[in-house]
Amino acid sequence: MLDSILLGIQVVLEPSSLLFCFVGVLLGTLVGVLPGLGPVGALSILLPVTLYMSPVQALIMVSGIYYGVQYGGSTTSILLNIPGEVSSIVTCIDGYQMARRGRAGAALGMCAFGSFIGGTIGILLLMVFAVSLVKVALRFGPPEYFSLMVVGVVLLTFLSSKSKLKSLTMGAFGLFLSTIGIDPMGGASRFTFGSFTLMDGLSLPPVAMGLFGIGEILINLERDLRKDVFETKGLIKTILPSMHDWRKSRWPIVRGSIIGFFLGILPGGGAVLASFTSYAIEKRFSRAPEQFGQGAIEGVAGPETANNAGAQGSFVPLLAFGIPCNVVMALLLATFLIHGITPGPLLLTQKPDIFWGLIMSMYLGNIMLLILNVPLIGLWVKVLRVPYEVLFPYIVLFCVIGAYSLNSSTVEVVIMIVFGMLGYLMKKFEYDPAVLVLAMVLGPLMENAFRRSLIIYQNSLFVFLERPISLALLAVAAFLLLYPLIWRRRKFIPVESAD
Amino acid sequence: MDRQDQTSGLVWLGTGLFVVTGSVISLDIGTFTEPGAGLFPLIAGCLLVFLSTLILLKAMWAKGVKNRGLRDLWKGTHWPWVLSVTGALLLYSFLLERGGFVLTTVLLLIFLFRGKDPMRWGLAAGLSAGTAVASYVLFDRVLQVSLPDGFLGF
Repeated sequence: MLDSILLGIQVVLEPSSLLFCFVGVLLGTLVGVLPGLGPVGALSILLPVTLYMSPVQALIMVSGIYYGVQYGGSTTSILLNIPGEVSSIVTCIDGYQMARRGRAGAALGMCAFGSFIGGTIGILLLMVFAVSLVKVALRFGPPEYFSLMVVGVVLLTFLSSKSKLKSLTMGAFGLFLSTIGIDPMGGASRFTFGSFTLMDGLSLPPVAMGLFGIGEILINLERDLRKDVFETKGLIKTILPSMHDWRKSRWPIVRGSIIGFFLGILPGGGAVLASFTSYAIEKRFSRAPEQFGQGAIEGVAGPETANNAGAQGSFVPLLAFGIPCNVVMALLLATFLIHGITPGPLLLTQKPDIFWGLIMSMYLGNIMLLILNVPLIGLWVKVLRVPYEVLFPYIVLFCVIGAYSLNSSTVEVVIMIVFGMLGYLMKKFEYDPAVLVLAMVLGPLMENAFRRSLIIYQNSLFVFLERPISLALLAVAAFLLLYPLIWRRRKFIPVESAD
Repeated sequence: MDRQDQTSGLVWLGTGLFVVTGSVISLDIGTFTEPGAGLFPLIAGCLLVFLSTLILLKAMWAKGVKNRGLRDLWKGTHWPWVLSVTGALLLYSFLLERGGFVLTTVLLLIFLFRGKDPMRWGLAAGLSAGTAVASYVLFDRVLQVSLPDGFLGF
């Protein structure tokens, strides 16, 4: 393990890795600060640019953006009462109240420190669990992989805040979209209508940019967005939380780190689920729960720690199994694949420099974020004051450049716009685009595992029921599908999606 | 009767039937021991048909929910601006390779800046031109992304 860590440190300390780590966390914080552009939209836009980087640089930057977003999202939550990201929604509840009482600095400072601690503990746990789960993953065959991915899609549907039925429909549609193109096993052309572009299948970046970038813009353009930003003069002098704040926050931070990490591993989990669960638990454990919603610092410390730990936890399924557990990880998977690397149990042995370099970059990234977030709050506030009517054309422009640059083709731009309209309509009719994208990413992997299972074991569909791990996983999926019917309860549990 | 869910259910039902029909007619389904190219799309299509049918049934028998019409979705919103922006983007993608990146981007940005809350012409033009040129230099020249040149050569 020590040799591996040293290898990772060596990779990270190369000047190019340092630069791209910095760029990633800076961009991530900026994306987190800007309401209306989430990590999925930002990653979709930047994915084509990573083609011009080395695999390590691309992965370090993309990962930096993801956990950087968790830091940035808290700034708008506290100063504007508008969450920069879905994972920062709960920070609005008490963070904004702290700001109203003149304690914005302490709230922002606790967010930064809590995020750093949560991220650091999350990375330690990631190192342990990713390596351990690799050994489990090596025992998985095609039937187990197929069943695991079925659980992934079903669990994401189960955790979706929208109608379960509609989310499952999006899952089915995503699976269909993933089949467009040339059949990788037989070479047959599927639903291409003679188009050369569609023969390569639907690329993920324009679809994701459309659904989450353009779609989000169109929804925002329908409404009038007003912002009142708190004055931040003198804020930096009071950015450090007091000893009293630390005493009240220490256990929420510890609990948030552990809860956040394990919730992050769940499909559909990640930072969003972690932050909401942490808030609920802190309120439950608090000796003064009535203070929650009035500016309780535990209501800021716990969730912000949890969302960063959750962000680290969500890397585990991708690195250990090669299966993304949320949309952001799906885009990271796309980054791996674009550079010809297949994440999963063999990544640790075949590409240890990438595996450990990525993990070590997270330590560095978290340190950079802690240093960046304290002095740059004033800058982020200035960015927030820019009207959305001035910001959104730039987001559109970057989306267009990102889509065009994939294949130097306007067809990709048109695909992005079409999916933008679809994303807009999906939001209007209350469908969850996150499930569609995850199903689209998992679709080829699922089909490959499904068909290989049928061919290898020659036992028809029974092969998925005869193997114990596969049967157990399918039983979990069936339980999740039937649970709402049995208990007739609907709880709002947010899922890692685009925002 | 929930018209919103009814409409979306019909759309997905139509999509599902299209997928099922396309899979059966155009592709080799194979068997469960020798799956063909059409098997997985067929399964996805069948799922889509089944789930959209459930959505339709639920929409028809929705209880305790006030009738949600389609117009309610766009009441009080700036939907004409949304349509305009979408149309502008489609036109932009059509003109992009003909007019070149810089020219078409300037025109698009001016339209977007001047849209809902109009910016002054001078500011809009200056910001658009500066952004288009800076983007071209950054992406085409520095990052070597290769943006369309058009008849102006840039």
